[in-house]
Amino acid sequence: MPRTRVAVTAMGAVSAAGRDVAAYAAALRAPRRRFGAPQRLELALDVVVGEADPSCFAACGEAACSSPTGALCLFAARECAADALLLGAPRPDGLALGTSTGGQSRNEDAVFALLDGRGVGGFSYRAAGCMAGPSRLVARELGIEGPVQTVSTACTSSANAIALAAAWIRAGRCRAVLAGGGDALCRTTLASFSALELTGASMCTPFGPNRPGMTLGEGAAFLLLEPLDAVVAAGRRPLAELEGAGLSCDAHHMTAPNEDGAGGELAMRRALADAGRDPGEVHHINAHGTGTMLNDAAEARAIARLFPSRPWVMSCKGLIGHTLGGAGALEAVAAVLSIRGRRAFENLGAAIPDPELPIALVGPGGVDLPSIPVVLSSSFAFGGNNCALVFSAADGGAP
Amino acid sequence: MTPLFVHGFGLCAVGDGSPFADGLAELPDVPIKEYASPAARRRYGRVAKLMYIAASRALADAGVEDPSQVAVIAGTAMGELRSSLELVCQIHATHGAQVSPALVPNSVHNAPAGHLTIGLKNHCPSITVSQGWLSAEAALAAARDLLELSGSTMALVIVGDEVDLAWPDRLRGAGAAALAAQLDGERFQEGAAALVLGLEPGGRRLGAVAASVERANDVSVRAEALVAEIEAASGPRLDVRLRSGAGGARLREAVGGEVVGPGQGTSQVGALLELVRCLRGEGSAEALVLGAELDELGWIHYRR
Repeated sequence: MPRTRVAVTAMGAVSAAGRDVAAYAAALRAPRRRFGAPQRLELALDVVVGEADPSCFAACGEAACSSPTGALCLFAARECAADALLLGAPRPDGLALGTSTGGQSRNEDAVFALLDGRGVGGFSYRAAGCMAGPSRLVARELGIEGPVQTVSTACTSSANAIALAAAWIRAGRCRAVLAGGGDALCRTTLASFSALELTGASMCTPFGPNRPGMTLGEGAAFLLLEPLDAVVAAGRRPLAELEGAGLSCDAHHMTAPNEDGAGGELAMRRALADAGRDPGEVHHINAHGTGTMLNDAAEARAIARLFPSRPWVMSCKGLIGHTLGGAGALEAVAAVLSIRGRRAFENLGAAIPDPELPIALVGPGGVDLPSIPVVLSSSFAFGGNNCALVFSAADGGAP
Repeated sequence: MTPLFVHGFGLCAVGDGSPFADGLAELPDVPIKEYASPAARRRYGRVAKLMYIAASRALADAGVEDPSQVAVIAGTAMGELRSSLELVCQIHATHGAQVSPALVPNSVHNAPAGHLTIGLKNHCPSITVSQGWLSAEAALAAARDLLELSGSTMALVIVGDEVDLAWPDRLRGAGAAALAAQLDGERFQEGAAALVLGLEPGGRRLGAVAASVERANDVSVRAEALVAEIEAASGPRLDVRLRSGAGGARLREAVGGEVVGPGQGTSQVGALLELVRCLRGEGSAEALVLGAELDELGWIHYRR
């Protein structure tokens, strides 16, 4: 029996690049960096970050009180759900949400209040502080009835959530799953990456020479996944097909990748196998590309080994920063936008790669892709957790 | 719903399977020395130690010869709580400028699973899920999804959380009496439990299990429908068990059944203990364990 194919039919995204998918697409095509000193968080750290427009939090009203991460997730999920409604897609009956921090901002607020002798008021760990807070908020606000899952695997969280959602569609467990996730900036992540000396005072330059380190960002994104057959039968046109997903573990170190990128390569191999694709069929890689010396070197080595055809490589992090748990979903949206526009977007921050890194970076202005592009998006995380997703044009590449 | 077959079980919890004491409790001794090298265990947080022990015991119970070949799924409500709280306290004291780098790796929720995969030299797919007090149900559901997705045939599911007995007093000392009372009221007891699960029944098969966490506008109505669905498929001999540690008691009017706990350890561990008691012949041959948190229904259906 042939496997159920998985279509992407609607999207939502919020980040430093803008409040919605249209703004994100415009920023990818004509990039302009919007990084600066943190505005919401008072810390004695010399860092630049990519913050979301404050109006996104305000737009969530009372719901934003749950947590900043919850608010960003809700904001992006609402765009995706509204997009789906306009297109006549069924109401989501499942939610797979990835987040690295969940309600940690609210936990920080509560601990700070206690330590300052201010009392915690009506703080509730279950409602606001817990990791599942954002998924509970999104599911409740959108009235989703069905399976709910909160994935928390650091920077692969939302990529893994998309992979789980694909499994639900393939198994017939759901007819339309809202899949993705996000993270808002919080004190814990800013201080932690600074303590590990992974963030720089200047903006990140993924895969570039003399990389200063990563730039943290915040954001959220969601894809609506449906069975491709059902979408076509309903006379609707999918945005793309999610052909395959691959997961792996480095089994090497908690915060550093294998120098040769073997763990990431394994995830990419598994994703290609799941998609039934050979490496030579991949035209473009939306890389993890954090801008740290170690990650970019390991990832470039893995790409060079696995893809001798040298597909075009870019990282979104030069535009939106590293959005941690939201990165996989925001990069999946960028991959779908590349497929729709038949264009690989510029690797912002570095036009040419570090001479030690044998990859083909997308330069200023971007590059054209074939009429039916195949795009791989990769995500790597603390704990040695890796996930890769393969997307293609489901409708023969029609724009 | 595709069931998974249970091949082995491991526990590291207060009481180690016997009825637990009432109230907050932490393990007096965590025997990690028997399982991990000094260099490795220095890096582990407390939850990682609990999970590592439970996982090792489950793998041994299942007779798994090569633990590098099982997908790893972890479920935890709070992760390494002590490390995370210490990190936040250091941020408060130094405005983020002086935080111990050693605390950072354990501040992510997937840290216990990361340590375990390193220890097992395991490159298989791994995922960590967190659905509050329904994290055991979430982990069991994710195990099925991951096996279907990845082509792996066996999965190691580990669930657990830690308790710090000092926190209620610290909260009271800081004037947060209500929050301290809330924590006391949880009767939370630390521990970890692990299951080795397979897509196929094997020689070590103890039973079959299916699970999920579902959001519903009316959790009681959904619970009632679920019981009816399962009884329609397998006959009206279902033993319904309601997890008091995870809000299950509020479903009693809708579906009947016995309220289990308090005294079930951490909510996650309690859920798996209920399952294992059944599989070992200490309970009904077929049961449905239900929990409800906010507007989510968590369920585990098992058959011996």
